[in-house]
Amino acid sequence: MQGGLYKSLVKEGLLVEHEEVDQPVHSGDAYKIIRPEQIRFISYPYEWCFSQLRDAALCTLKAQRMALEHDMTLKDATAYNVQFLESRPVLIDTLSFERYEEGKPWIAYRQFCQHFLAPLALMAHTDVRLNQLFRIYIDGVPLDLASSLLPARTKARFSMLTHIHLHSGSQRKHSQAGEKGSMSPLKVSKNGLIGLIDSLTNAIKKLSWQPKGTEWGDYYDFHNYSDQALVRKQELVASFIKKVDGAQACWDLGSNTGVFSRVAAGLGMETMSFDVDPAAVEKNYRECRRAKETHVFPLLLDLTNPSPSLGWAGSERDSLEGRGPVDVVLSLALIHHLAIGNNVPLERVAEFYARISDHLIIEFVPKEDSQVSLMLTTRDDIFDDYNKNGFEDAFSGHFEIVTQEPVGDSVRTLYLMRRKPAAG
Amino acid sequence: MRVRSFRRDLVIISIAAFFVLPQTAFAYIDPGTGSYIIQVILAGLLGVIVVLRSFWAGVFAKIKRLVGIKPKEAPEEAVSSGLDDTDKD
Repeated sequence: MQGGLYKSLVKEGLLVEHEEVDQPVHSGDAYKIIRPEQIRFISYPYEWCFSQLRDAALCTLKAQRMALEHDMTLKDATAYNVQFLESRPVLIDTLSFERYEEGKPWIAYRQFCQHFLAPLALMAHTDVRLNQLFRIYIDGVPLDLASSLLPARTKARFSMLTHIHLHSGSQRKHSQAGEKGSMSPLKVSKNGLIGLIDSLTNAIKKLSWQPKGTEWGDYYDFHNYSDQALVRKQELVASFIKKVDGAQACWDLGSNTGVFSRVAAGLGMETMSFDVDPAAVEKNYRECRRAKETHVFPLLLDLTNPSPSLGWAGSERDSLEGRGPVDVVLSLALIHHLAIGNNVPLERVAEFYARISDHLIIEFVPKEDSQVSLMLTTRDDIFDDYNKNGFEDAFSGHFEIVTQEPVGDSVRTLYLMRRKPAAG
Repeated sequence: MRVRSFRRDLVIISIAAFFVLPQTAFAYIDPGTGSYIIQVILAGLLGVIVVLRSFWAGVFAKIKRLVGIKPKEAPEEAVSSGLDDTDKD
């Protein structure tokens, strides 16, 4: 810390701040105890959109570059060492910095390629959904898998060829243990390291993905509401949120590009803005960066298959539910997708919502709505209880309906509900 | 730069011939050595470029001073604009 690296990193917004704490030391080996600034909601790379992962990668490289200037280096380059604070990526593993020894290679290079370069390359060149591979491979995308999934044309790009394809080939060729002994005389100079970091930075910067053409990315161009009606709905949602005392944190489910998340944020709530569509999350995030948004953060989430607990003993990465419950959940223009589009019984939706929220602002979309009737043209209508009464019955098992109002210019109804205390 | 990178690509591709040979993968035994080797090679090449770049930058700065053009503040290395237009201010 004395060297000035900590100050520089914090000043550039690359590292989470911490303070040293005087507490009775339990273990005789403990050198110091630090209390880092708390991140309100932990998120994981399989929940990030393309640009979030890209920004996290550039943050890591920038920190490593800065570290080298102070004769230090990063031991790890894992995506899980980056979290987002007010829409900006920050490193959270202060202990990952160690003294740099001239000649030693960057030990985190392989990890950087697996956690950042490979998934970003796959998202940009193959399919944007491939960051979901993080859910299967706990240490990032294996390079041989990335190499086989990337299109052959990537071999014509220097950065892809070297850091992924040749890297993977080298790993395969030298995978038998025991060769390391003869390798130790091979050194990496500081300029070589700088060159390597710069090369990786350029590689990441060249990767890009444009959010368009996905199912929901263009939703607000084709939705049901006139502009006036949209404004009125925003006002209605705002009035409901104001009725909840002391609410600080909000999850907006199926938020698309975050129009209503920003309503909640405008009222002071820290809002996680979830959606299943990578293009919607990407657009939302770009807007957050542009506006230097502090109270909205977008993330990818498939409610029918939410982030599970992962890692050793299923306890290294927390499930979505494990990171709740939250004060308020917004479920606008969503219920019909769950109940009709995905056959989830209304009672089950209510039960799940009760596990993750204290208050619920939910919009019921009846069969008369044009979106629902469209859905029912291609499905058998087996949803006998899918109506206003059935909805209220299903939710009354877990929630108390505080108030309801019709949503202007539509057949929908907006409800404010409070979770009933668990029975018995 | 284009010529240099083409030559560089040729060098890389010829070295690559040694490495991209199909073989059964036991990466779980030792995933580190392969990464180490490729890093040594890449860093070796890229390090030369870093040195050359700062050498030529120095030369141009000297020339500009001699000719009377006010020298620009040395631009930060590529990494500086890492977070594009949204650095913390």
